[in-house]
Amino acid sequence: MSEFLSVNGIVKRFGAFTALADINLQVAQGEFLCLLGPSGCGKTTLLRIIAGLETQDLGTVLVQGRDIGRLPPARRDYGIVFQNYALFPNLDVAQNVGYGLRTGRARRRERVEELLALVGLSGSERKYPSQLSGGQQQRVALARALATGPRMLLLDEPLSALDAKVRLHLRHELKQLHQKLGITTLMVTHDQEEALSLADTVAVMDHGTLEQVGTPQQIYQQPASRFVADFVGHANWPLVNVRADGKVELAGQEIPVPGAYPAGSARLFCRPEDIRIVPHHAQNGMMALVESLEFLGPVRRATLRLERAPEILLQVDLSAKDPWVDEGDAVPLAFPADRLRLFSAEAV
Amino acid sequence: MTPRAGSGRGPILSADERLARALAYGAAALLVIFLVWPLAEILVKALQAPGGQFVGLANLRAAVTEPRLQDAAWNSFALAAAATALVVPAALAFAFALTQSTMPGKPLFKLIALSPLLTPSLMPAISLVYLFGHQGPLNGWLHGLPIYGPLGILLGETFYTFPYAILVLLTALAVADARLYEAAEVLGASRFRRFLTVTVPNIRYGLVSACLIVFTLVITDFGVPIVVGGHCNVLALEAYKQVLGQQNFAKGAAIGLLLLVPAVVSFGVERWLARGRAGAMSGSSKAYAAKPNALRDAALWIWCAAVCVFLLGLIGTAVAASFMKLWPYNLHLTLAHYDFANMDGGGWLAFRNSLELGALTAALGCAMVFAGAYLVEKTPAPRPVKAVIQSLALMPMAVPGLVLGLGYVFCFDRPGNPLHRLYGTMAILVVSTVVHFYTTAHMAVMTSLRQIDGEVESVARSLRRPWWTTCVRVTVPMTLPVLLDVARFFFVSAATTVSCVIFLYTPDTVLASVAVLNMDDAGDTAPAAAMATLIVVSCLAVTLLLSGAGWWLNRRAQAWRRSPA
Repeated sequence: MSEFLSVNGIVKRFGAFTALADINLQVAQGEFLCLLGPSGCGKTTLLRIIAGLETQDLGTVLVQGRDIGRLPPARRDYGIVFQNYALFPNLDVAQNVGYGLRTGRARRRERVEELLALVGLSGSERKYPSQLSGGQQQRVALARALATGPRMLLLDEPLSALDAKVRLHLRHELKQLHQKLGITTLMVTHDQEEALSLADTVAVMDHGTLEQVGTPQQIYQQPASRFVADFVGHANWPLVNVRADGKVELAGQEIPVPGAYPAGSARLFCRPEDIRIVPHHAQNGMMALVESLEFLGPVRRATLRLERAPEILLQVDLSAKDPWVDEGDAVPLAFPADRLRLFSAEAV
Repeated sequence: MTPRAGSGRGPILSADERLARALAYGAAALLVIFLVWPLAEILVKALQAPGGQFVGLANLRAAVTEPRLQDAAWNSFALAAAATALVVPAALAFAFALTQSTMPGKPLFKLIALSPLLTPSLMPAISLVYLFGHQGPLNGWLHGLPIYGPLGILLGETFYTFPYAILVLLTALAVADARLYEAAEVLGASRFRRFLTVTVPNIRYGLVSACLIVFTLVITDFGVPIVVGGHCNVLALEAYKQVLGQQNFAKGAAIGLLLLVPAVVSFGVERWLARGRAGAMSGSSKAYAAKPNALRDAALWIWCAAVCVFLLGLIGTAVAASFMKLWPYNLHLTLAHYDFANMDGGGWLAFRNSLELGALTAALGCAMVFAGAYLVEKTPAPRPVKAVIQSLALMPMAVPGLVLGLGYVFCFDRPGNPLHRLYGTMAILVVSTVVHFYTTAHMAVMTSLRQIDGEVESVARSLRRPWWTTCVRVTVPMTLPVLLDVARFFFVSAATTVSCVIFLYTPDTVLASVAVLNMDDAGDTAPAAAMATLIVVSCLAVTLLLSGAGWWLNRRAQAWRRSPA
C-alpha cells in the first residue's frame, strides 16, 4: 500500500494549552485509520487541522506528497461527517446530498439516486432532515460527504449520537462501505470498541501526543504504554517483583513473562480473558479463591483472591467452555506467557 | 527532514474567505466611525471650554458643583429610583400572572402590556395632562397636587418602562423548572414558601436586570419630563436645554458624561450577571404548567385588568382627544387636528419622514446587523476583527440615545470632518438610529445564528461551496423569522424615538416624534396628540404586517421545522 496522507510535526496550542505536541502520522492509500482517545486528547483538533477547519501552529499535512497544510478546506478534496449530522435543515435530502455537485440537473439527480442507494435510503429524496431518524440523517450526511467523489473521508465521532442498536448497525455498514469504495478514511472516536472493530490501523492519543499506532490486535494485545493498556479494554494490574536474574514473581511464584526488565517491583498487565483456570493443579501452580462472580452475558467475570497473597485480587473472564466454578472454590490458575507484559510500578 | 511551515506563514485564503475578511474589516470600521468616534468626541468636548481650549476636568467639576445641576441630578436619581420601585413589583405580579396562573385572557393582557412600545414617550405625558391637568376630568383625584412635576413624570415613566420590565421578567419566569416546584410541593412547602424559595431565586437575575433597565431608561429619558415636568428639572432635560437652547456644548457634553454613568454601570452589572447563565434551563428541565387556583387567578386577573386600564387609558385619552374639538369641553368629533397645514412642527412632512426613517432603518439595520453577526459567527474572518465587532455591537446598549445624539452633533457638525456632508441629511438620522438600537437587534440575530449548527458551515466549505451560497440557501431562510422581528423592532424604535434624533433633524428631515414634542411645546396639544396617534397607528400596522409575514413564512416552512415524530 502506498502512502496517501502524511502528517508531519503538527503542533497546535490554544493559549497556554498544548492541544497537539508534534504529531507525526502516516496513512496508506485506502486505509481506515481511527484516532482513538479520551475527550480532550486532541484527536478532533488533529482531524480539523487535516480538514483545514483549524490552523496548525507548526507542521505540514501532505496528501500524496503535495503540501495541503495551508490550503482552504475547499481545495483539500475530502468529504466530512460530523457527530451531529450537520445537515442543512431547510433543504430536503436530495438537495442536501447534491449540495456540492456542480453538474447539470439530470446528472445531479442520477448521482443523488446512486448515493442514496449506496447508503440504503432510496426514495427519501423529498424528505427533510427533521423527518428522518438519527441513523437515517447520518446516512444522508455520509452520502453528501461522498457525493463529489473525494479522495479522503473524514469522520468526526459519526456514530456517537446514535442509539446503541443503530450505532452497531451503522458501524457494520460503514465497514462494508469502506471495503466497497476503498476510500482512505480517518475517523475520530472515543469508543474503543468502534475503533478496534472498524479500523485497519488505530492511533491512540492522549494529552496531545500519539501513544501508539498499530493494528487493532497490536493495540489490544501489545499495548506500547501504560495509558494504552489501561484505556483499551479491561486489565488486571497486580504488583510483581523482578528478581536480579530477570525472572518475574507474582506472590512469590515465578510466572513466564517474555522480555527482559530491570530488577525491582513492576506492574503486571494481564487481561481477564487471558488468565486461565486450569482443571488440574500443577506442581507449584498458583491457587486462588473465587471471591465473587458477576454474570455479564457471554462470560462470567470472577474476582479471585490469590491464596499466597490475599491482598491481590484478579478478575478473570470465564466462558461456557471453561471449567464450572462457584463462589468459595479454590482454583488453580495459569498465565499465558505470550499475553503478559510488565509496566513501571507507578500509581495508575 | 520534512519542511515545516513556520508560524509566520498563515493559511492560504480562498477568494470567498478573502471577501469575508474584507467585509469584516469594513463592518468593524463602520462601527468605529459611527459609534466610537462620536463618543470620543463627547469626551474631548467635555474636557474643553466653550471656546475650544483644553480645561481638563473643570467642566465636569463645575457641573457637579452647580446647585441647579445638583438639584437636577437629585431629581433624576429620586425619580428613577421611585419609578423602579413602582414598576418592577407591578410588572412582576403581571408577568407572574401571565406565566404561572390559569386566568383567562392572558394573550390579550400580554398584548396590552407591550403596547407602550408602540408609542413615543411623550404620548403618556400628553394623556396625563389631558386627564389630570387643570381642566382634566380627573383633576379632583389629585386633591390639589399638580400633575406637572414629579407625580406626572413618575406616572409617565411607569407607562413608558412597563413593557421593558415585562419582557425581562417574562423571560426570567419562562425558564421556571417544573421539577423544582414538584419537589417543593412533595416536601410540603406552602404556596408562599414555594414562591419565596423557588420562584424568587430562579428569577433573581431577571429582577436585577429589570431594575437596571427601568432605572436607566428613566434617568436618560426626557420625553416625559419635557411635557409634564413643570418646574421639576432633571438631568436629561438639562442636557437637551444646554445644547439646543443655549448652544453650550461643553456643558451638554459634561452632563452627557454624567448620564453615561448609570447606563455604563448597569450595563456592566448586566454583563457580569450574564456570565455562566447559559445553562439556566438544562435539557432535562420540565416547563412549568400552572394548576388552577380560583382565588389566586381572580386576584391576579383583577390586578392585570387594572394595569391594562391604566396603560390603555394613557394611550386612549390622547387618541380620543385628537379626534375631539376641544377636550374636555367640546367632545364633538373632528379631524381638524389632523390638518397640520397651519401648524409648526412639520406636519405631514414629518410623518412621511418618520415612515421613511422607519423603513430605511429597518432595511439598513437588518442588513448591517445580519452582516455583522454572520461575519462574526459563521465565517473564517480573523479573530481580532470578530472580537472588535462583537464588543462594539454590545456598546450602544450602554449609551443613552441623548448621549449618542450629542456625540453625533459634536462629531459630524464639525466642518473639518470629511463626513460633514452627512450632517443634516436623512442618512445621518438612519445611521444614528441603527447604531442607537444596534445591541438588541444584534443579540437577537446572534442567538438565532447560534442555533444553527456551526458544522453546517464546515461541511459546506468542504463541499467547495463559498460561504455566500450557504448564507443565501441555508442561513438566511433559517433566520428569516428573526430578521422580520428585527425589522419590526427597528421600524417601531425609529418611529417612536426622540432622544437621539432630536439633535440631528433639520426642517427638511423633521420627524413625527419630534413634531409631537415641538407642537406640544408650542401649546398645540391636540395636534401633538394627533401626530402621536399617527405614530401609534403606523407602528401597529407595520407590526401586524410583519407578524403576518412571519406567520405565513412559518406555515410555509412547516415541513422542515417540524420536529421528528
